[in-house]
Amino acid sequence: MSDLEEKVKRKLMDIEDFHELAVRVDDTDLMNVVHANKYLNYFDDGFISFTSKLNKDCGALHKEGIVFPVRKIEVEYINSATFGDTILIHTRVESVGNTSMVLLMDCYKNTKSSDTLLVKGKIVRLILDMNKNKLLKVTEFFEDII
Amino acid sequence: MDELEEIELRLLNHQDLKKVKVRFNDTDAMGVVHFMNYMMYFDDGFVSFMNSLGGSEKVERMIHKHIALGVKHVDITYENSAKFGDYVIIKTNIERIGKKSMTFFHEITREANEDILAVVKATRFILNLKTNQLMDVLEFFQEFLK
Repeated sequence: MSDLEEKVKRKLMDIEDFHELAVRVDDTDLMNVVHANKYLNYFDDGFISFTSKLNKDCGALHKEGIVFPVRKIEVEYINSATFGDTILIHTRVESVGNTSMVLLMDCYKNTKSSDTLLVKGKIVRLILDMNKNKLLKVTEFFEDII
Repeated sequence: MDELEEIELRLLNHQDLKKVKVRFNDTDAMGVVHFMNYMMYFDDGFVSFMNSLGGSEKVERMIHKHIALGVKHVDITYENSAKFGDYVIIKTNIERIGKKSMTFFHEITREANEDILAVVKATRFILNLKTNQLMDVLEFFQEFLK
């Protein structure tokens, strides 16, 4: 591995992002809690916020045909949230492979007095150039963060 | 063999197939089903599995009686993408029965060519919302199967 690749990997793993959002009423189910699948939307929001910190605009990239498909997820549900709560998503990179990266995404219920851990997520994402139907090398894609 | 052992064996040997049509709003701008929506599919598979054991609309009636079947842990591996117009088949069985939780295995395939789209392991628990207590899995099914 070249020095540059090593530096990009280290930098990616150093960056963390915090993104806040409000629970929408239609995120909740008849049990009056946020439905399990909605946290996957929150993970998307957290990822978009994280990449913007790396000077990558997911919306603009999408128009160019560059997308970030999910290969695998692992989610542990610890506590529940409901309408009126604010969710704080903490995102960081656990590891960087050749064409994939593993993100750790924890969701907290953010109140004025404390943060309660709601959900722990581990997500494997790829970077796909849809024009060429080719996976991109993670360290090359994020090279400009150095 | 006592009654609870018989119930456990019956549960572990049971399998259900549920067919779902991919709706237009299940897909995203990449033209494939958004990764979040596979959770809806295996929720459908779970309800179908339960009703195939307990009788038509048994789960729906049970939920309105304040028994919740919550999700504790989910692992999903995405193998292929479903597209608008596809029919997907959700195969469901129980992989493990613990005292207070059980792990479901779901395999989601495209009906047309039997491509595996996603493989899911979901650990669920049964919560009595009136007492806010977790229920014993086999004792729950003793009632549910009557």
